[in-house]
Amino acid sequence: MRRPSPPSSEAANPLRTAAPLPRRGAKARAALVVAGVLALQGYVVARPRAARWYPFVDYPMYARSAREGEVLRLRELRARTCEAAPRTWRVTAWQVGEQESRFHRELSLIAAGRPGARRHRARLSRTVAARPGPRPCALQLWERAVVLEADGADARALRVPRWTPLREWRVDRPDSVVTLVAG
Amino acid sequence: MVTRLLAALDRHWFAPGSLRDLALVRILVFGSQTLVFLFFPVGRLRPPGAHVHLATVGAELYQPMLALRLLLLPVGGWDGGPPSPAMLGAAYGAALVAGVLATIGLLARPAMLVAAAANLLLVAHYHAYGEYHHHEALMMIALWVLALAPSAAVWSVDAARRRRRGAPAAPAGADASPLARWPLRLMQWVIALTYLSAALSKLQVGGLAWFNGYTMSYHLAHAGLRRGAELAVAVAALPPGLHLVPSAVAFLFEALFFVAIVRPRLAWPVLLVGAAFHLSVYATMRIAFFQTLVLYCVFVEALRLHRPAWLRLPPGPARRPPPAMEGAPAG
Repeated sequence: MRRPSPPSSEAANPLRTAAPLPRRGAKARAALVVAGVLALQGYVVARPRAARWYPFVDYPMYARSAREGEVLRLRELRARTCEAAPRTWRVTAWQVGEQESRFHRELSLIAAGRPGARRHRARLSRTVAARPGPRPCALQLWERAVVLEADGADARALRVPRWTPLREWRVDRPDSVVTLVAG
Repeated sequence: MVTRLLAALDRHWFAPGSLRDLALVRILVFGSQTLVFLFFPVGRLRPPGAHVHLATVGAELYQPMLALRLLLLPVGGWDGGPPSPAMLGAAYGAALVAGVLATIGLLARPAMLVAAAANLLLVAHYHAYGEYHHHEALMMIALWVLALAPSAAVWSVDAARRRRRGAPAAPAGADASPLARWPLRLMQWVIALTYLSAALSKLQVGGLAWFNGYTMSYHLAHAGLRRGAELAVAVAALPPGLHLVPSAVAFLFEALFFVAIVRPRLAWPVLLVGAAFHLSVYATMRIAFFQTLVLYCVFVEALRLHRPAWLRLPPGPARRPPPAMEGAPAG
Protein backbone atom coordinates (compact mmCIF):
# COMPACT_ATOMS: atom_id res chain seq x y z
CA MET A 1 0.00 0.00 0.00
CA ARG A 2 1.43 3.36 -0.99
CA ARG A 3 1.68 5.95 1.65
CA PRO A 4 0.55 9.45 0.71
CA SER A 5 3.56 11.60 0.05
CA PRO A 6 4.00 14.78 2.10
CA PRO A 7 2.97 17.98 0.36
CA SER A 8 5.86 19.34 -1.64
CA SER A 9 6.64 23.01 -1.98
CA GLU A 10 5.23 22.86 -5.50
CA ALA A 11 1.98 21.31 -4.31
CA ALA A 12 1.78 23.93 -1.60
CA ASN A 13 1.94 26.67 -4.18
CA PRO A 14 -1.64 27.85 -4.69
CA LEU A 15 -0.81 28.94 -8.22
CA ARG A 16 0.03 25.35 -9.08
CA THR A 17 -2.97 23.74 -7.50
CA ALA A 18 -5.56 26.20 -8.70
CA ALA A 19 -4.31 26.87 -12.20
CA PRO A 20 -6.56 25.39 -14.87
CA LEU A 21 -4.78 23.30 -17.45
CA PRO A 22 -4.45 25.10 -20.77
CA ARG A 23 -5.62 23.58 -24.00
CA ARG A 24 -2.82 21.59 -25.52
CA GLY A 25 -3.01 23.71 -28.67
CA ALA A 26 -2.51 26.93 -26.72
CA LYS A 27 0.58 25.58 -25.04
CA ALA A 28 1.97 24.26 -28.32
CA ARG A 29 1.43 27.64 -29.96
CA ALA A 30 3.16 29.36 -27.04
CA ALA A 31 6.08 26.92 -27.30
CA LEU A 32 6.32 27.69 -30.99
CA VAL A 33 6.47 31.44 -30.34
CA VAL A 34 9.11 30.92 -27.64
CA ALA A 35 11.23 28.74 -29.91
CA GLY A 36 10.85 31.08 -32.90
CA VAL A 37 11.73 34.25 -31.00
CA LEU A 38 14.71 32.70 -29.22
CA ALA A 39 15.95 31.11 -32.44
CA LEU A 40 15.77 34.41 -34.35
CA GLN A 41 17.39 36.43 -31.57
CA GLY A 42 20.06 33.77 -31.08
CA TYR A 43 20.71 33.62 -34.81
CA VAL A 44 21.29 37.36 -35.21
CA VAL A 45 23.59 37.36 -32.18
CA ALA A 46 25.64 34.51 -33.65
CA ARG A 47 25.46 35.67 -37.29
CA PRO A 48 24.91 39.44 -37.37
CA ARG A 49 22.87 40.58 -40.36
CA ALA A 50 22.54 44.30 -39.63
CA ALA A 51 18.84 45.15 -39.66
CA ARG A 52 17.68 42.43 -42.04
CA TRP A 53 15.67 40.64 -39.34
CA TYR A 54 14.70 43.74 -37.36
CA PRO A 55 13.51 43.87 -34.55
CA PHE A 56 15.86 40.92 -34.04
CA VAL A 57 19.28 42.59 -34.12
CA ASP A 58 22.71 42.17 -32.60
CA TYR A 59 24.18 44.85 -30.36
CA PRO A 60 27.70 45.79 -31.47
CA MET A 61 27.51 49.48 -30.53
CA TYR A 62 30.65 51.01 -29.02
CA ALA A 63 32.47 47.68 -29.41
CA ARG A 64 35.56 48.99 -31.20
CA SER A 65 38.58 49.68 -29.05
CA ALA A 66 40.91 52.67 -29.08
CA ARG A 67 44.49 53.14 -27.98
CA GLU A 68 46.74 55.94 -26.84
CA GLY A 69 47.51 58.29 -29.72
CA GLU A 70 44.31 57.48 -31.61
CA VAL A 71 42.68 60.46 -33.31
CA LEU A 72 38.96 61.02 -33.02
CA ARG A 73 37.73 62.85 -36.12
CA LEU A 74 34.45 64.71 -36.39
CA ARG A 75 33.28 66.03 -39.74
CA GLU A 76 30.92 68.77 -40.72
CA LEU A 77 29.34 69.73 -44.03
CA ARG A 78 29.13 73.43 -44.86
CA ALA A 79 27.52 75.24 -47.74
CA ARG A 80 29.03 78.36 -49.33
CA THR A 81 27.59 81.00 -51.64
CA CYS A 82 29.65 82.48 -54.46
CA GLU A 83 28.91 86.14 -53.91
CA ALA A 84 31.66 88.69 -53.50
CA ALA A 85 31.22 88.31 -49.77
CA PRO A 86 30.37 84.60 -49.57
CA ARG A 87 28.11 83.32 -46.85
CA THR A 88 28.82 79.95 -45.21
CA TRP A 89 26.55 77.82 -43.05
CA ARG A 90 26.49 74.35 -41.55
CA VAL A 91 24.36 71.70 -43.26
CA THR A 92 22.89 69.19 -40.81
CA ALA A 93 22.07 65.54 -41.43
CA TRP A 94 18.40 66.26 -40.96
CA GLN A 95 18.40 68.97 -43.64
CA VAL A 96 19.53 66.44 -46.24
CA GLY A 97 16.98 63.83 -45.09
CA GLU A 98 19.48 61.66 -43.27
CA GLN A 99 20.15 60.50 -39.76
CA GLU A 100 23.37 61.26 -37.90
CA SER A 101 25.33 58.01 -38.21
CA ARG A 102 24.70 57.52 -41.92
CA PHE A 103 25.50 61.17 -42.62
CA HIS A 104 28.82 60.94 -40.77
CA ARG A 105 29.71 57.68 -42.52
CA GLU A 106 29.07 59.46 -45.79
CA LEU A 107 31.27 62.40 -44.80
CA SER A 108 34.04 59.95 -43.79
CA LEU A 109 33.88 58.31 -47.23
CA ILE A 110 34.11 61.72 -48.91
CA ALA A 111 37.00 62.75 -46.65
CA ALA A 112 38.90 59.57 -47.49
CA GLY A 113 38.05 59.83 -51.20
CA ARG A 114 36.78 56.25 -51.14
CA PRO A 115 34.90 54.63 -54.03
CA GLY A 116 31.33 55.78 -53.89
CA ALA A 117 32.33 59.21 -52.59
CA ARG A 118 31.22 60.79 -55.88
CA ARG A 119 27.73 59.32 -55.50
CA HIS A 120 27.47 60.77 -52.01
CA ARG A 121 28.77 64.18 -53.11
CA ALA A 122 26.22 64.21 -55.93
CA ARG A 123 23.32 63.33 -53.66
CA LEU A 124 24.30 65.85 -51.01
CA SER A 125 24.68 68.51 -53.71
CA ARG A 126 21.24 67.77 -55.18
CA THR A 127 19.53 67.78 -51.80
CA VAL A 128 21.20 70.98 -50.59
CA ALA A 129 20.46 72.73 -53.89
CA ALA A 130 16.79 71.75 -53.65
CA ARG A 131 16.38 73.27 -50.21
CA PRO A 132 14.57 76.58 -49.86
CA GLY A 133 16.68 79.56 -48.85
CA PRO A 134 20.01 80.88 -50.10
CA ARG A 135 21.38 78.83 -52.99
CA PRO A 136 24.94 77.68 -52.32
CA CYS A 137 27.43 77.21 -55.13
CA ALA A 138 29.84 74.94 -53.23
CA LEU A 139 29.87 72.41 -50.44
CA GLN A 140 32.77 72.05 -48.06
CA LEU A 141 33.88 69.27 -45.74
CA TRP A 142 35.43 70.39 -42.46
CA GLU A 143 37.13 68.31 -39.80
CA ARG A 144 37.86 68.57 -36.10
CA ALA A 145 40.39 66.19 -34.50
CA VAL A 146 40.86 65.18 -30.88
CA VAL A 147 43.86 63.06 -29.88
CA LEU A 148 43.69 60.45 -27.12
CA GLU A 149 46.75 61.35 -25.09
CA ALA A 150 48.37 59.39 -22.27
CA ASP A 151 46.36 61.29 -19.68
CA GLY A 152 43.05 61.23 -21.55
CA ALA A 153 41.37 62.92 -24.49
CA ASP A 154 43.10 66.21 -25.33
CA ALA A 155 41.23 68.54 -23.00
CA ARG A 156 42.16 71.66 -24.97
CA ALA A 157 40.88 70.21 -28.22
CA LEU A 158 37.69 69.21 -26.45
CA ARG A 159 37.20 72.66 -24.97
CA VAL A 160 38.18 74.81 -27.94
CA PRO A 161 36.92 73.42 -31.24
CA ARG A 162 39.41 73.86 -34.08
CA TRP A 163 37.82 73.11 -37.43
CA THR A 164 39.94 72.78 -40.56
CA PRO A 165 38.63 72.66 -44.14
CA LEU A 166 39.33 69.38 -45.99
CA ARG A 167 37.51 69.31 -49.33
CA GLU A 168 35.33 71.53 -51.46
CA TRP A 169 33.27 70.83 -54.57
CA ARG A 170 30.86 72.81 -56.68
CA VAL A 171 27.22 71.96 -56.16
CA ASP A 172 26.62 71.66 -59.92
CA ARG A 173 29.81 69.58 -60.47
CA PRO A 174 30.31 66.92 -57.79
CA ASP A 175 33.55 65.83 -59.52
CA SER A 176 35.22 69.18 -59.02
CA VAL A 177 36.79 68.25 -55.69
CA VAL A 178 39.47 70.55 -54.38
CA THR A 179 41.61 69.42 -51.47
CA LEU A 180 41.89 72.31 -49.07
CA VAL A 181 44.11 70.61 -46.48
CA ALA A 182 45.57 67.13 -46.72
CA GLY A 183 43.12 64.87 -44.83
CA MET B 1 17.29 12.14 -18.69
CA VAL B 2 15.41 13.54 -21.66
CA THR B 3 12.16 13.29 -19.75
CA ARG B 4 13.66 15.20 -16.83
CA LEU B 5 15.01 17.86 -19.16
CA LEU B 6 11.63 18.25 -20.83
CA ALA B 7 9.94 18.44 -17.45
CA ALA B 8 12.40 21.11 -16.33
CA LEU B 9 11.80 23.07 -19.53
CA ASP B 10 8.06 22.71 -19.05
CA ARG B 11 8.36 24.06 -15.52
CA HIS B 12 10.60 26.90 -16.65
CA TRP B 13 8.18 28.12 -19.30
CA PHE B 14 4.76 26.85 -18.26
CA ALA B 15 4.68 26.56 -14.47
CA PRO B 16 1.56 28.45 -13.43
CA GLY B 17 2.27 32.14 -13.26
CA SER B 18 0.29 35.13 -12.13
CA LEU B 19 -2.06 36.62 -14.71
CA ARG B 20 -1.90 39.82 -12.67
CA ASP B 21 1.84 40.01 -13.20
CA LEU B 22 1.24 39.57 -16.92
CA ALA B 23 -1.50 42.20 -16.92
CA LEU B 24 0.72 44.62 -15.02
CA VAL B 25 3.41 44.17 -17.66
CA ARG B 26 0.82 44.74 -20.42
CA ILE B 27 -0.27 48.01 -18.80
CA LEU B 28 3.29 49.23 -18.26
CA VAL B 29 4.58 48.22 -21.68
CA PHE B 30 1.69 49.36 -23.88
CA GLY B 31 1.02 52.32 -21.60
CA SER B 32 4.58 53.62 -21.67
CA GLN B 33 5.03 52.98 -25.38
CA THR B 34 1.80 54.79 -26.21
CA LEU B 35 1.69 57.59 -23.68
CA VAL B 36 5.38 58.29 -23.10
CA PHE B 37 7.62 57.03 -25.87
CA LEU B 38 5.29 58.15 -28.62
CA PHE B 39 5.89 61.74 -27.46
CA PHE B 40 9.04 61.70 -25.36
CA PRO B 41 11.83 63.36 -27.38
CA VAL B 42 14.22 60.44 -26.87
CA GLY B 43 11.45 57.87 -27.03
CA ARG B 44 12.50 57.25 -30.57
CA LEU B 45 9.11 56.84 -32.21
CA ARG B 46 9.41 60.40 -33.50
CA PRO B 47 6.55 62.65 -34.47
CA PRO B 48 4.64 62.13 -37.74
CA GLY B 49 6.37 65.17 -39.26
CA ALA B 50 9.77 63.49 -38.89
CA HIS B 51 8.50 60.43 -40.76
CA VAL B 52 7.09 62.53 -43.56
CA HIS B 53 10.34 64.53 -43.79
CA LEU B 54 12.36 61.33 -44.24
CA ALA B 55 9.86 59.91 -46.74
CA THR B 56 10.18 63.03 -48.91
CA VAL B 57 13.69 64.50 -48.50
CA GLY B 58 15.34 61.13 -47.92
CA ALA B 59 13.25 59.14 -50.44
CA GLU B 60 16.38 58.31 -52.47
CA LEU B 61 17.81 56.40 -49.53
CA TYR B 62 14.70 54.29 -48.92
CA GLN B 63 15.68 50.66 -48.28
CA PRO B 64 12.88 48.96 -46.35
CA MET B 65 13.75 46.06 -44.13
CA LEU B 66 11.80 42.80 -44.22
CA ALA B 67 9.46 43.73 -41.36
CA LEU B 68 8.39 46.92 -43.14
CA ARG B 69 7.93 45.14 -46.46
CA LEU B 70 5.70 42.56 -44.78
CA LEU B 71 3.64 45.19 -42.99
CA LEU B 72 3.17 47.14 -46.21
CA LEU B 73 2.32 44.03 -48.21
CA PRO B 74 -1.47 44.35 -47.73
CA VAL B 75 -1.34 47.84 -49.28
CA GLY B 76 0.90 46.78 -52.14
CA GLY B 77 4.02 48.29 -50.70
CA TRP B 78 6.46 45.37 -51.00
CA ASP B 79 8.55 46.91 -53.78
CA GLY B 80 7.15 50.41 -53.80
CA GLY B 81 8.59 53.66 -52.56
CA PRO B 82 8.22 55.12 -49.09
CA PRO B 83 4.74 55.03 -47.53
CA SER B 84 2.61 58.07 -48.25
CA PRO B 85 2.16 60.77 -45.60
CA ALA B 86 -1.47 59.65 -45.28
CA MET B 87 -0.44 56.11 -44.50
CA LEU B 88 2.16 57.25 -42.01
CA GLY B 89 -0.44 59.46 -40.32
CA ALA B 90 -2.87 56.54 -40.19
CA ALA B 91 -0.20 54.29 -38.66
CA TYR B 92 0.52 56.94 -36.06
CA GLY B 93 -3.17 57.27 -35.23
CA ALA B 94 -3.55 53.51 -35.04
CA ALA B 95 -0.55 53.24 -32.71
CA LEU B 96 -2.14 55.82 -30.43
CA VAL B 97 -5.73 54.53 -30.37
CA ALA B 98 -4.87 50.83 -30.30
CA GLY B 99 -2.14 51.50 -27.74
CA VAL B 100 -4.61 53.15 -25.36
CA LEU B 101 -7.14 50.32 -25.87
CA ALA B 102 -4.42 47.72 -25.26
CA THR B 103 -3.36 49.51 -22.09
CA ILE B 104 -6.85 49.56 -20.60
CA GLY B 105 -7.65 46.14 -22.04
CA LEU B 106 -10.65 47.02 -24.20
CA LEU B 107 -10.94 44.76 -27.26
CA ALA B 108 -7.57 43.82 -25.97
CA ARG B 109 -6.35 41.13 -28.35
CA PRO B 110 -7.03 42.99 -31.62
CA ALA B 111 -5.92 46.25 -30.01
CA MET B 112 -2.59 44.76 -28.93
CA LEU B 113 -2.00 43.27 -32.37
CA VAL B 114 -2.83 46.55 -34.14
CA ALA B 115 -0.70 48.55 -31.70
CA ALA B 116 2.23 46.16 -32.18
CA ALA B 117 1.91 46.31 -35.98
CA ALA B 118 1.53 50.11 -36.10
CA ASN B 119 4.48 50.70 -33.77
CA LEU B 120 6.67 48.29 -35.71
CA LEU B 121 5.67 49.93 -38.98
CA LEU B 122 6.64 53.37 -37.68
CA VAL B 123 9.93 52.22 -36.18
CA ALA B 124 10.84 50.12 -39.22
CA HIS B 125 9.97 53.05 -41.47
CA TYR B 126 12.23 55.37 -39.53
CA HIS B 127 15.01 52.84 -39.94
CA ALA B 128 14.47 52.41 -43.67
CA TYR B 129 16.80 55.21 -44.74
CA GLY B 130 20.22 53.67 -44.35
CA GLU B 131 20.44 53.82 -40.59
CA TYR B 132 18.89 51.81 -37.81
CA HIS B 133 19.01 51.95 -34.05
CA HIS B 134 18.61 49.45 -31.27
CA HIS B 135 16.69 51.41 -28.67
CA GLU B 136 13.23 50.26 -29.73
CA ALA B 137 13.95 46.72 -30.88
CA LEU B 138 13.26 45.01 -27.55
CA MET B 139 10.08 47.01 -27.08
CA MET B 140 8.83 45.96 -30.52
CA ILE B 141 9.39 42.28 -29.69
CA ALA B 142 7.67 42.75 -26.32
CA LEU B 143 4.58 44.30 -27.91
CA TRP B 144 4.16 41.28 -30.20
CA VAL B 145 4.84 38.73 -27.45
CA LEU B 146 2.29 40.35 -25.15
CA ALA B 147 -0.23 40.53 -27.98
CA LEU B 148 0.01 36.76 -28.44
CA ALA B 149 -0.38 35.98 -24.72
CA PRO B 150 -3.39 36.14 -22.33
CA SER B 151 -2.19 39.55 -21.20
CA ALA B 152 -5.66 41.00 -20.69
CA ALA B 153 -7.25 38.05 -18.86
CA VAL B 154 -7.39 40.17 -15.71
CA TRP B 155 -7.07 43.87 -14.93
CA SER B 156 -8.75 44.83 -18.17
CA VAL B 157 -12.01 46.34 -19.33
CA ASP B 158 -12.67 43.11 -21.23
CA ALA B 159 -12.39 41.08 -18.01
CA ALA B 160 -14.70 43.50 -16.19
CA ARG B 161 -17.25 43.25 -19.00
CA ARG B 162 -17.09 39.45 -18.89
CA ARG B 163 -17.80 39.55 -15.17
CA ARG B 164 -20.68 41.95 -15.64
CA ARG B 165 -22.17 39.72 -18.29
CA GLY B 166 -22.48 37.02 -15.62
CA ALA B 167 -19.50 34.87 -16.34
CA PRO B 168 -19.08 32.34 -13.48
CA ALA B 169 -17.23 33.66 -10.47
CA ALA B 170 -13.56 32.94 -10.65
CA PRO B 171 -12.40 30.24 -8.24
CA ALA B 172 -9.76 30.99 -5.67
CA GLY B 173 -6.39 31.10 -7.35
CA ALA B 174 -7.89 31.88 -10.76
CA ASP B 175 -5.19 34.52 -11.03
CA ALA B 176 -2.86 31.71 -12.07
CA SER B 177 -2.43 30.26 -15.52
CA PRO B 178 0.15 27.98 -17.11
CA LEU B 179 0.11 30.45 -20.01
CA ALA B 180 0.97 33.46 -17.88
CA ARG B 181 4.64 32.72 -17.41
CA TRP B 182 6.07 32.16 -20.89
CA PRO B 183 5.68 35.73 -22.22
CA LEU B 184 7.59 37.18 -19.28
CA ARG B 185 10.22 34.43 -19.35
CA LEU B 186 10.65 34.91 -23.08
CA MET B 187 11.27 38.63 -22.72
CA GLN B 188 13.68 37.98 -19.86
CA TRP B 189 15.74 35.72 -22.10
CA VAL B 190 15.56 38.07 -25.08
CA ILE B 191 16.83 40.93 -22.89
CA ALA B 192 19.62 38.69 -21.59
CA LEU B 193 20.54 37.70 -25.15
CA THR B 194 20.79 41.31 -26.25
CA TYR B 195 23.09 42.16 -23.36
CA LEU B 196 25.12 39.05 -24.11
CA SER B 197 25.37 40.18 -27.73
CA ALA B 198 26.75 43.54 -26.57
CA ALA B 199 29.31 41.82 -24.34
CA LEU B 200 30.42 39.34 -27.02
CA SER B 201 30.76 42.14 -29.59
CA LYS B 202 33.15 43.96 -27.30
CA LEU B 203 35.36 40.88 -27.11
CA GLN B 204 35.10 40.04 -30.81
CA VAL B 205 35.50 43.55 -32.22
CA GLY B 206 37.47 45.37 -29.56
CA GLY B 207 39.35 42.51 -27.91
CA LEU B 208 41.05 42.98 -24.59
CA ALA B 209 42.00 46.51 -25.62
CA TRP B 210 38.36 47.40 -25.04
CA PHE B 211 39.14 47.46 -21.31
CA ASN B 212 42.20 49.74 -21.53
CA GLY B 213 40.41 52.94 -20.50
CA TYR B 214 41.28 54.74 -23.74
CA THR B 215 38.36 53.02 -25.41
CA MET B 216 35.91 54.53 -22.99
CA SER B 217 37.61 57.94 -23.32
CA TYR B 218 37.17 57.66 -27.10
CA HIS B 219 33.49 56.71 -27.00
CA LEU B 220 32.72 59.35 -24.38
CA ALA B 221 34.47 62.05 -26.41
CA HIS B 222 32.79 60.88 -29.60
CA ALA B 223 29.28 60.84 -28.14
CA GLY B 224 29.90 64.01 -26.19
CA LEU B 225 31.06 66.05 -29.19
CA ARG B 226 28.43 64.63 -31.54
CA ARG B 227 25.55 65.14 -29.15
CA GLY B 228 26.79 68.22 -27.34
CA ALA B 229 26.92 66.28 -24.07
CA GLU B 230 29.21 68.34 -21.86
CA LEU B 231 29.41 65.77 -19.08
CA ALA B 232 30.63 63.09 -21.51
CA VAL B 233 33.29 65.48 -22.81
CA ALA B 234 34.41 66.30 -19.27
CA VAL B 235 34.62 62.60 -18.31
CA ALA B 236 36.51 61.81 -21.55
CA ALA B 237 39.25 64.20 -20.47
CA LEU B 238 39.86 62.23 -17.24
CA PRO B 239 42.88 59.90 -17.08
CA PRO B 240 42.07 56.60 -18.87
CA GLY B 241 42.99 54.67 -15.73
CA LEU B 242 39.80 55.97 -14.14
CA HIS B 243 37.78 54.25 -16.88
CA LEU B 244 39.15 50.77 -16.18
CA VAL B 245 36.64 49.85 -13.48
CA PRO B 246 33.57 51.28 -15.27
CA SER B 247 34.61 49.37 -18.42
CA ALA B 248 34.85 46.10 -16.51
CA VAL B 249 31.57 46.70 -14.67
CA ALA B 250 29.73 47.48 -17.93
CA PHE B 251 31.07 44.31 -19.55
CA LEU B 252 30.35 42.08 -16.55
CA PHE B 253 26.83 43.45 -16.23
CA GLU B 254 26.10 42.70 -19.89
CA ALA B 255 27.71 39.27 -19.84
CA LEU B 256 26.09 38.15 -16.59
CA PHE B 257 22.63 39.65 -16.88
CA PHE B 258 21.13 36.17 -17.33
CA VAL B 259 21.88 35.50 -13.65
CA ALA B 260 18.73 37.51 -12.86
CA ILE B 261 16.74 34.75 -14.59
CA VAL B 262 18.43 31.65 -13.25
CA ARG B 263 18.85 33.07 -9.75
CA PRO B 264 15.70 35.15 -9.15
CA ARG B 265 16.98 36.16 -5.72
CA LEU B 266 19.60 38.23 -7.52
CA ALA B 267 17.08 40.00 -9.76
CA TRP B 268 16.96 43.10 -7.57
CA PRO B 269 20.72 43.78 -7.51
CA VAL B 270 21.15 42.91 -11.20
CA LEU B 271 18.29 45.17 -12.29
CA LEU B 272 19.44 47.98 -10.02
CA VAL B 273 22.90 47.78 -11.57
CA GLY B 274 21.19 47.80 -14.99
CA ALA B 275 19.16 50.87 -14.11
CA ALA B 276 22.27 52.66 -12.83
CA PHE B 277 24.15 51.61 -15.98
CA HIS B 278 21.53 52.95 -18.42
CA LEU B 279 20.89 56.11 -16.42
CA SER B 280 24.58 56.94 -16.17
CA VAL B 281 25.02 56.30 -19.90
CA TYR B 282 22.13 58.68 -20.55
CA ALA B 283 23.44 61.28 -18.10
CA THR B 284 26.85 61.32 -19.77
CA MET B 285 26.44 60.25 -23.40
CA ARG B 286 22.71 61.03 -23.86
CA ILE B 287 22.09 57.53 -25.15
CA ALA B 288 18.59 56.63 -24.03
CA PHE B 289 17.58 53.04 -23.44
CA PHE B 290 14.53 53.93 -21.34
CA GLN B 291 12.37 51.36 -23.11
CA THR B 292 14.71 48.64 -21.90
CA LEU B 293 14.37 49.98 -18.37
CA VAL B 294 10.58 49.77 -18.64
CA LEU B 295 10.94 46.21 -19.89
CA TYR B 296 12.69 45.25 -16.67
CA CYS B 297 9.10 44.93 -15.39
CA VAL B 298 9.05 41.42 -16.93
CA PHE B 299 10.96 40.42 -13.79
CA VAL B 300 7.94 41.41 -11.71
CA GLU B 301 7.56 38.01 -10.05
CA ALA B 302 11.18 37.83 -8.88
CA LEU B 303 11.04 41.47 -7.78
CA ARG B 304 7.85 40.79 -5.82
CA LEU B 305 8.97 37.56 -4.21
CA HIS B 306 12.50 38.61 -3.36
CA ARG B 307 11.90 42.18 -2.32
CA PRO B 308 14.74 43.47 -0.14
CA ALA B 309 13.89 44.14 3.49
CA TRP B 310 14.17 47.89 3.10
CA LEU B 311 11.33 47.81 0.56
CA ARG B 312 8.91 45.78 2.65
CA LEU B 313 6.08 47.52 4.44
CA PRO B 314 5.66 46.67 8.12
CA PRO B 315 2.65 44.31 8.46
CA GLY B 316 -0.28 46.34 9.76
CA PRO B 317 -3.25 44.84 11.64
CA ALA B 318 -5.56 45.07 8.62
CA ARG B 319 -2.98 43.71 6.20
CA ARG B 320 -3.42 40.15 5.09
CA PRO B 321 -0.32 38.06 4.65
CA PRO B 322 0.80 37.81 1.03
CA PRO B 323 -0.13 34.67 -0.86
CA ALA B 324 2.51 31.96 -0.68
CA MET B 325 3.64 32.10 -4.27
CA GLU B 326 7.19 31.20 -3.41
CA GLY B 327 8.86 28.61 -5.47
CA ALA B 328 8.03 29.22 -9.11
CA PRO B 329 11.11 27.57 -10.47
CA ALA B 330 13.59 29.47 -12.52
CA GLY B 331 15.73 26.77 -13.90
